[in-house]
Amino acid sequence: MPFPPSSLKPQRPGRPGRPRKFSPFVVDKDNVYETVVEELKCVVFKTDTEGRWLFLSRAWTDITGYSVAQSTGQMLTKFLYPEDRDRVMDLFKPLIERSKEECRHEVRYMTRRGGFRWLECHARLALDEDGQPDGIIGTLTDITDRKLVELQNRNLILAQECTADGIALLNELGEYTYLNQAHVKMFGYESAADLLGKTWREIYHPDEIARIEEKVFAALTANGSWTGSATAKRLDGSTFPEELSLTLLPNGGLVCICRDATEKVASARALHASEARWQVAVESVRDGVWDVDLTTGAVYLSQGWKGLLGLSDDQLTTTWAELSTLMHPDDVKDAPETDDPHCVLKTGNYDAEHRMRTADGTYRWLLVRGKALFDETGKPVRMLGTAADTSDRRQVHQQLLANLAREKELSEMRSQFVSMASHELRTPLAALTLTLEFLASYSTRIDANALEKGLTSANDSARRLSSIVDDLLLLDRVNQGQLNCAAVPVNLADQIAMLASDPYFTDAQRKRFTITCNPPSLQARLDPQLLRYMLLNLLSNACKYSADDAPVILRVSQASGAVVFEVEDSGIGISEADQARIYSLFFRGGNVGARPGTGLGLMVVKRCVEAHCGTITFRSSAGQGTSFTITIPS
Amino acid sequence: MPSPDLSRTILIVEDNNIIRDQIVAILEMSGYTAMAAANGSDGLRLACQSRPALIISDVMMPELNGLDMLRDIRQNPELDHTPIVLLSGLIATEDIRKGLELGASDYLIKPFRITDLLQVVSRHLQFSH
Repeated sequence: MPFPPSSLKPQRPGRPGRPRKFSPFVVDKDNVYETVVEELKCVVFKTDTEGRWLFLSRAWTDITGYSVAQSTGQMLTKFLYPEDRDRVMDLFKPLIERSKEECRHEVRYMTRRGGFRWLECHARLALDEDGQPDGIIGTLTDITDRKLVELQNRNLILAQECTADGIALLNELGEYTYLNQAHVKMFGYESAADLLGKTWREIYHPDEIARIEEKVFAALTANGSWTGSATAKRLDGSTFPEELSLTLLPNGGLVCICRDATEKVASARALHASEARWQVAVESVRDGVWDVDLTTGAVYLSQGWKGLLGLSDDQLTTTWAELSTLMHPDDVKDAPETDDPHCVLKTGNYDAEHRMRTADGTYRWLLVRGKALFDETGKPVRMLGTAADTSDRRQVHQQLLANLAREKELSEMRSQFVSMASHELRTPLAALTLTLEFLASYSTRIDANALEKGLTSANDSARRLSSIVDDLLLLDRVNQGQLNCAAVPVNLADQIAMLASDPYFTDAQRKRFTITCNPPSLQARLDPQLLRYMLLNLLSNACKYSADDAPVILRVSQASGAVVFEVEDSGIGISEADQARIYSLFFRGGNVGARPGTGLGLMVVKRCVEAHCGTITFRSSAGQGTSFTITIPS
Repeated sequence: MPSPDLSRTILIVEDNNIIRDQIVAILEMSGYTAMAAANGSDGLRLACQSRPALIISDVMMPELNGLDMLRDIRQNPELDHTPIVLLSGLIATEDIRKGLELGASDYLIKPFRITDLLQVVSRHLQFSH
């Protein structure tokens, strides 16, 4: 409705700075209009046909900051936001061309302070009395606040469109009223329009719909929201795991946020599979795996410990302190302090080999290795590692060490033997050569007695040499395992008589012998050479290891189906520590001093006895003398 | 009975009776006075009694062995200058070294020749006078 022309005259409205009092009792038509216009929140304006402001109501100043007086007569476009100027001229065009009665548009006007305000313009063409256009009249309403909210909403929607999560709004009927692009694509649709107006049941299979209606809606109604997972259906009918968050709106509608959980489920499955593999590996290895929670002292042991220590299932969960009680007492000092596993952790590593008691009470060697895990403050919180049974390896190792020690001992004994054998051979050899050289050198100066004595000495020395060589050869046969017993019937009294006069012994030694044979006619099947060797050795030892004038007794007697030889002395004896080893190769008692000997005799004697299927025993104590008994079945 | 010439008296300590007797015979043939013992203990006792000019001793003997006798003699102020010749079948250098360390003057390895024996005797009797 056009304003009366008079009201469009540019005139200063009222007194500035002071609101005009409106009195309902004053009925002045012009004044009433003017007052109304000036009190309006919106700007009432009129332009001329060129577009100059002819009239602006007071709200203009309130909105833009420009005074009405300054603005009147100025071009309208001058006040427009530069980017909007051309657009406004286009907007007014239909009016000026009279193709439209009125127009409405939203444009930005600049403010005096350098900003702008969004103004909604309602305008129509003003006509003069002749009906010719003489300008434009209309109103400008400040819509800046509404515009900002709109902008904010647009940003919000933009954000919703950009997120990877699917976002949808549903009305109280369960129909989609909004879906973001992610939601649309997630379900295999082209555009939101494909789902708008349709219900959520469109994107689930019947089974899942039933579950959602029964379980999910119950929770939703009770709590106002629900978060969980579902199996969703794409447009092509395929399904995928979905994480779903639903919030009930006051109007009965729903906000739905969903996410495709395919990858998450896959990685969770992969993690589960990897953990399962680890578990299988831990449980199937023969080694034990241990895991200590240092904050509680609780220990977890893998199934492998059943094999290692024979632990039962309920013992596989134990404490550090309990586990420590299984350790061998001798090894505890090498192990970490039983009541404080933390001491292990100074270096962060644990590496030790010790014995642990098994269920049957025996001990096994375990190689225990571990590593500590620390929290962010550097405090050890967990320790885990493995334990491997090294008993077999350890045993082999111990055996090797024992063998090595034995080899070393044997080697020293051999070296001593060579030295002894050398002495044993060189002494009669020296006696022989010295005698022969003496006889040759002094033949013209010695008498017949001396000559005979010399020849006897040479003969004795040669026989002694021969007997030593026999011993060595016999030893060689023993070593080769070729000691054969050539048993023949022998008269023992004769054999003993021969022995007593054997040149092996000196006259002084012979004087010490007390020899008996009971009964004197005793016969036996024996190898005479081996018998001579056995008795010679025992008698010689008895002489050697007792005082020079001490008696040496040989008794030959008969027992049930056997012949018994006893050789007794009152010499240095054999210490208890040495008794177990006297038949060992090259072994000589610790108390023999410088008495010559090869450490062979008793070993060879024993072999000779065994060759006769007999036995040899002895009674002895250090300092008290020794008595050997040989029993040979007849 | 004339008293023996102590400057030519030699003590032989040897457990092998043949060697002992032969050495005694050889030395007497060469004009020395010889006395003999069959083990270290007897040898030491005889040495203390007779103060021989030279001692010839085996190493491996019953009772007191040659090295122990040597040590005892070297610790006896009345005998410590007496030259001692060791007689041994032990050829290990270790045993010879041990003997020399204990104060042996010389050694003869069995078997030895009469000339070796007489040379050693003559050498050490000269030195001691």
